[in-house]
Amino acid sequence: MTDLLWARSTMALSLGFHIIFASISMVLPFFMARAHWLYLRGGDPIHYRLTKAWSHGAAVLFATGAVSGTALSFQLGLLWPGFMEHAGAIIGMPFSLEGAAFFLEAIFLGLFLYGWERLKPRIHFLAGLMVGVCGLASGVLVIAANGWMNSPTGFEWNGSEATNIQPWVAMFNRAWPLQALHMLVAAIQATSFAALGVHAFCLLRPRGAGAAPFHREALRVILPFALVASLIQPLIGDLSAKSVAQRQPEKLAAFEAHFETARGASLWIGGIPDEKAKTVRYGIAVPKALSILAFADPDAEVRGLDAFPPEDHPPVVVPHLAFQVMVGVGSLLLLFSVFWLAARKLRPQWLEVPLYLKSLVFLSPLGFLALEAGWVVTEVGRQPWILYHVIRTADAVTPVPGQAITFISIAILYGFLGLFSALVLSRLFRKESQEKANSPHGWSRAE
Amino acid sequence: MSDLLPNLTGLFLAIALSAYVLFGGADFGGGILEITLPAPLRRKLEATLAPVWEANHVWLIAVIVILFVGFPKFYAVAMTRLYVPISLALLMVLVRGTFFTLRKYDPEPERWGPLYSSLFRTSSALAPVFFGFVIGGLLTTHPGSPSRIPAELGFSALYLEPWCHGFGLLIGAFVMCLFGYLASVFFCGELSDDASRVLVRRRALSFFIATFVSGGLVLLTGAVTGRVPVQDALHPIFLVCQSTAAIGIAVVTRALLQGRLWQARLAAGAQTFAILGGFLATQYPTLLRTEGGSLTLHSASAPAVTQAWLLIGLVVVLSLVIPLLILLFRVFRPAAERSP
Repeated sequence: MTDLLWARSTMALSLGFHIIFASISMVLPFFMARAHWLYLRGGDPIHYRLTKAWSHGAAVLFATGAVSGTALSFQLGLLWPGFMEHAGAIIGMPFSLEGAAFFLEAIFLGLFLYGWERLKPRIHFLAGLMVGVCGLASGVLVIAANGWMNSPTGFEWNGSEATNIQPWVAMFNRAWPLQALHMLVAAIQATSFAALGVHAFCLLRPRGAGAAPFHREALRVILPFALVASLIQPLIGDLSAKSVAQRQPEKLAAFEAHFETARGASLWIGGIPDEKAKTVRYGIAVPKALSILAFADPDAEVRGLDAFPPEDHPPVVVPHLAFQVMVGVGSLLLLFSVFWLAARKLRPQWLEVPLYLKSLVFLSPLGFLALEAGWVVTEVGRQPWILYHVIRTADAVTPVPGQAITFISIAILYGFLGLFSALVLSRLFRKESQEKANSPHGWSRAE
Repeated sequence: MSDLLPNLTGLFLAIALSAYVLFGGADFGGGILEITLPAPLRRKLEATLAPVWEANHVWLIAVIVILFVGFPKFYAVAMTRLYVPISLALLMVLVRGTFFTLRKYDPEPERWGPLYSSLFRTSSALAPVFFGFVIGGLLTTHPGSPSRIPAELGFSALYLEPWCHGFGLLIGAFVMCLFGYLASVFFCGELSDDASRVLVRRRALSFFIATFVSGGLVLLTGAVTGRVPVQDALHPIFLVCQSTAAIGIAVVTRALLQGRLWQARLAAGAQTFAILGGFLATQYPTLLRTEGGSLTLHSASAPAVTQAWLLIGLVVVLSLVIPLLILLFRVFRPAAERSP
């Protein structure tokens, strides 16, 4: 493997890892705030315990996210100095605002965790809510930078330097709004299904019977997030595909494995692209569907990879497979949500059977799978460019040799970090879900 | 006039760096100090650090963000030239943060507690050493020029020799002792019983002496190897700052002995600012040296429009962050005082 490929792998690993923790720490505070709100309104100790349990989970995950986020702020320069020396000045705005949002998030989290007895309930609740708001803001801001990499604007390029820099124009690039929305909703989906699965799993375990009310209530608090996000995500996804079709036609061609320009282009469902033979094997072609998907017109012309010079072609196999995974999972989650709403109306007893809980456990990791797959589509689909049509990834990579060593160290570190956080979270969770339900304030007095 | 913006941004960079050295430094120092303390005090120290841990480390992100937005050329060149020590320092920061958090939240600490603690302490002590190597690397002249890396020289000459030397190691030892000192002074203020106060005060003094000695050795080695030019070491600002820092120990010790703990902390903070300020003032405006010229605050700076917006952003952000930080620190103070 070349140093470039190792550097890309390090970046992919770091981002792929960070994104899980970042997503959870964006969304979990809202579960926490909802439970907290219910507790303040109704005084139910279960809501108090849920708030506590989730806030401790949020703290662990925030710290893990902070660790991997700190790593990323270095890795941008360590791995891609040829990109950052130009990009820093252009797209610095959202990054510095992101840093600020992250800073505030850390402060509000501290206030929330340690403020139970020391802040007025209303202020304390607001601090918890602000953890989520700042988390969301920092996510949205970071995506502005990624949107800019897909849709560079706000500067002129003379071949080696950027001139006439306009930071705000760069920040408000065309790709940003939809990318941010797509990712936010994906984070909500991924986190809520992951959390639903965990609580469903606990309900299924015979020895966890004492904690059943705790987990049932958790499902009730989280479900609306999961349902709403899964119902609107396909729509946002469709708009995103249309936006990519206009801005980055070769990316669309790659993830749809669309090799030849055609009118009334058909859409592949599944299949394995063969880049040499320029065809897709074992897939199902739906006539005209790609033209509809990309331009809302069954006879629209969709440019295939043949319309672009070979040196600008993105890889096809990886983005195509990742795209299929993402869309497949998105459809499954949509189906689940429709099923749930129908069942509640027509057959509420279906939502009581173990099979329902088992299906939640099955769906649990899929949201994150789709989220990661989506990032693979957008990042691999942008290759060979780090800054679309401006700077090539190969020209931006660090000249320092031995990138395999960096990759291996980071992989080991994140392996441990992931493993240990998962174990600690599960212990934490077991302990908090089994705590006596009767006197919430006994907990804090004992502290 | 054209230098005004980079200078202002440089000032903010210095402020963020000072905040990181002070708060993050006390935090790293906590891990170092922990090595030297008996078990009950270790637990107390951990409890003192826990609430502010995340907030302390966000200053590092602030430093990095100001660097790559305000001085992107320097950020890119430093990350390349000092790839190895920066990566190692980063690794230590990551290991430290990870195991601190795990230790704090693991509800069954008896199982892996010792593992968490030893990793936390080791990385706390090693991170400042690698920071020292990075500083040593910034004070060393690199081959080539800021825009050209002479690849024919090979890995070692390009990426190891410019930072991996005794001078860097000495700076590392200096930074480590300074962090240990900061943590001891800070921690002393959280203690209510006399016996442990005396113990931690002694640690503070030992760390200070070690800081002083290693600082002297750094200057001496720097002067001998030419990495710290004599006119820099004898620069009036530098001399005034470093002597203030040295004399400051008298104020700190007196305040500690008389139980005026905030005075001690403020004085230790002022010592740190003096050390750092003296260093930065003599370095200004150089950021990184190569045979083909130096990168300076001005030559590495982003265009004026970026600098201006960055500054506006920083002012807005600081005016939000500082009141909230004060609130945060106030919310916890009662906790530390209440617990026995």
